[in-house]
Amino acid sequence: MMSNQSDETQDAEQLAHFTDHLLDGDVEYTIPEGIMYDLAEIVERLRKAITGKQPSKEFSSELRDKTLRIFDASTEDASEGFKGLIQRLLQDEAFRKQFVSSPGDYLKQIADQLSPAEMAALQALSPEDIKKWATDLDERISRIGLPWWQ
Amino acid sequence: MSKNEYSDEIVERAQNGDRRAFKQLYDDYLPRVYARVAAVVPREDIEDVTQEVFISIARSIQSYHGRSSFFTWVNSIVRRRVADYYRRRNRQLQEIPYDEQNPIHSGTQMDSLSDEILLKQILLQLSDAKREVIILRLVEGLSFKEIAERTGVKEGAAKVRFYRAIESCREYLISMTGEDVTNHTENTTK
Repeated sequence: MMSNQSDETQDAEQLAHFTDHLLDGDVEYTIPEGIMYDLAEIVERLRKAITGKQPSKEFSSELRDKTLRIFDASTEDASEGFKGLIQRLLQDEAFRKQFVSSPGDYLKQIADQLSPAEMAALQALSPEDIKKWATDLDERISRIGLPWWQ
Repeated sequence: MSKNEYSDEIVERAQNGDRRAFKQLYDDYLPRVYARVAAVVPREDIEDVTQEVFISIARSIQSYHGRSSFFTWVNSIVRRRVADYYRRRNRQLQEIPYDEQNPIHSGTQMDSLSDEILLKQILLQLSDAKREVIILRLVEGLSFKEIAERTGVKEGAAKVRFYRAIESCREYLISMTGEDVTNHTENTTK
């Protein structure tokens, strides 16, 4: 068992050495006696089959424009997590109070659903900012509940 | 600054909506993504699959949270889009029955294009770890030391993994084509 492992390590070392020469374009390199020729040949065939493909300039340019348009559109939208937070703050008074008292705890819970930019913006809000916003919101929502003449 | 640190900074700026940063990411990653897609997808579909990868990146870059390197995250998207491609095209090799009387190709008849298709199919049959070591070595041209760092194993283990991956390719080649690759006697890299 030990000698098998040792043989494998030795063969692996030789094959690795062979790929060094292959990738360096050393066409004069002779495969050492110990290495199995069939494995070396498979490496050569694989290299020919799967390497050396590069995108054309036209394709790169077209795809860049298309990808940037999609990027622009995606950055204009708020994440679902952010939309959900705003909706809950608007609709759920108990949650609003809880969020004002300890915004960090809730932000930790939904961190996965927020983009880094949204998280940074929310974390930058001071407790006073949040309290003021929540108080304004409470007043506006209370007014919505009143008859139109008041 | 290492390449990863550089990418992390650019990624963060792109996530904050910086268009120039995203454009730079695109320029940096396009050749690598294209080469990876080209390693496993037929020539005529490389551009389509590459496009799908970048559309996914543009749409979901906000969901990258830095738990792995950005490169690893991009690779996971490449794997998913390639898998989607093969699901759509129903080209997965296990769905092609092997006919002993009529193997796909014989060694001497195989032209370079059919050899390319066959070897890409074989690559898809390998485990992720084996396929990855072949791509890192032959497509990206990394040294075994770099492969070891990238994959979190020792250099010797990376070499053994590469060796086993090539052995697996040989086994698939024999079982799929009936080609006896063990009788070849050429002994140079030509």
